[in-house]
Amino acid sequence: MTGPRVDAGRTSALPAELAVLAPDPWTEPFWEAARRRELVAARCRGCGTLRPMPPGPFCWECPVREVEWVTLPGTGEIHTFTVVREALMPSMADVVPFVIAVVSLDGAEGIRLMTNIVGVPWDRVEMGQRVRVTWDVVSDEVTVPRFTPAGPVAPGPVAAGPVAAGTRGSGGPGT
Amino acid sequence: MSASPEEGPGRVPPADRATIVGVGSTTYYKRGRSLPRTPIELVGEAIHAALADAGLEVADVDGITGYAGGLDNPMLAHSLGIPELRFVAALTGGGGGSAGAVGLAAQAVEHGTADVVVTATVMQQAAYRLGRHATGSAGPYGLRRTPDVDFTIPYGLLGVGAKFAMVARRHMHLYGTTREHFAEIACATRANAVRRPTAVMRTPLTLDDYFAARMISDPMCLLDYCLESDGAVAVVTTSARRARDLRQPPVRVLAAAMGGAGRYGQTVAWMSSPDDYFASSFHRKVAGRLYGSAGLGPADVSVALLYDHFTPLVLMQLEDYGFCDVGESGDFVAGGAIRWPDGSVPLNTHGGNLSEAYIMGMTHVKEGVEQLRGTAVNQVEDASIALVTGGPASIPVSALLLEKP
Repeated sequence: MTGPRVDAGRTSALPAELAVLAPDPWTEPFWEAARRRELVAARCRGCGTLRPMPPGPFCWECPVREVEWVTLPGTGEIHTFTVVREALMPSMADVVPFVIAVVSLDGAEGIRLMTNIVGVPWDRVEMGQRVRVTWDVVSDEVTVPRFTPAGPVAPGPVAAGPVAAGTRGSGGPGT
Repeated sequence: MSASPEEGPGRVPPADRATIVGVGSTTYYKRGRSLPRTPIELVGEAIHAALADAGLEVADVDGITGYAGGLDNPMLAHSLGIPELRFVAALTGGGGGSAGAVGLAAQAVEHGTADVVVTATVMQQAAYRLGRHATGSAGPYGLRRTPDVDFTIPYGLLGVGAKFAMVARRHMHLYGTTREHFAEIACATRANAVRRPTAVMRTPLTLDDYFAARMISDPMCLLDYCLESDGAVAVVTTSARRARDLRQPPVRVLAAAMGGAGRYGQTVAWMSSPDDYFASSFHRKVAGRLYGSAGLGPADVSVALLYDHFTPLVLMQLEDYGFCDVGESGDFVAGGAIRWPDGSVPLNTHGGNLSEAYIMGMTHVKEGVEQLRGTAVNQVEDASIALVTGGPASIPVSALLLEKP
């Protein structure tokens, strides 16, 4: 293998082998929706409480197991993130550095999704940044939600963003 | 805080109370360097050493406890020749159970289920590297597939460090914590290891060294990560009555607690914890129960032996165990509070997972015992109470309060 390529329909260089899924009945609808390019969350049919990711059979508030799937706007805010600099698999050697983030999802208060921030240099990613979903069509079977900045991005590396090795900048505070 | 009648020390007659009477270990190696010795040989050697320290023999052992799923107990019992076991148990989770496994031994002793209980762990990371956990179970680069990791692995989250790096960044964001504060954990711990012949890392560490280290998962660099080590540590627990005839002054297990907030989502994997404890060590409730059952508080702790797989999570434990307020740990350590010998709460006097060896937290228990015996290399003057923690890691996390003989 000569290193990962960004194929047509792909929005991330992360190896496709990472996105081979093993869903169960409670998570399958999330991935089915992703193939339709819809970001969804599971809402309890009994009391309306949203289930955290990954969605499962039990509600924290009531005995009802059944859920309905609500389509979210696909926007949100970066709750936290890391810039991965070390490749833990040979196939990721050309992918680093890349950004793993946790995004607080609009339309689903308290629900967060782990994802990647793509389409922006890694040193322009910031805490609290507004982001929107961008669908990474990894294969015929799997589409993965990644996120990209929803608004203007800083023209250069951000002071409150990632900290480069060898500098003594702080990672915060962000406010 | 007052002692709870359910968990308090007054409930067990003094002669039946659990005490640690022996500690032992192998040499500590850099990852892979213990080969061709087998894990059973390593852990058996640590157990022999701990029993010899206590003045006991293999034939006296009737209990084994562990954590992170436990040891290969059938092979261990066979290999050592233990005549009869009455109590064999292990905590689930990972390194979070190190202190709690000794708590489990103490419960067995105090309930009369077993008389002499060995708690041990062994690390041999030649093939399977814990820091790459997502790639471990199906061979070096195989990936396990489950419905839950579908929400982490497609994003390249393959090492536990990346998760804790995100917790660390949130702490920086909320409280203004800086990499200099992380560095103080690394440097203070290394300063302790430099003086110890057992330590793998004995070169002094400066702030310049820290900032020159390569970034692994920003904001955490190589020196924010613990070592990858091989080796084994064992601890022997028995009753105060039995301890009277043994070789060492008994160190009492004053309190033990384990658990963790069930809603924080398989530790930090899905990152949905409420923000009031997202940027924490997830130990806060365990700390409250631990202190409550002993009737003690942070001001009573002479030495803090806190599980140090990642430096920012040590800062958060200092907060969760009440040595400073939530969000204040950066300033707290910058003021020298954790430095041996003069800090208000000397931290990881043995060099910890960061600089002595990463034997998944069991070296912290051993150091707690040595501090309270008064035989530690970096002895805290008049040490009377040691706090030992396991985790943050997958539930359960755990802690012990140990008391001087």
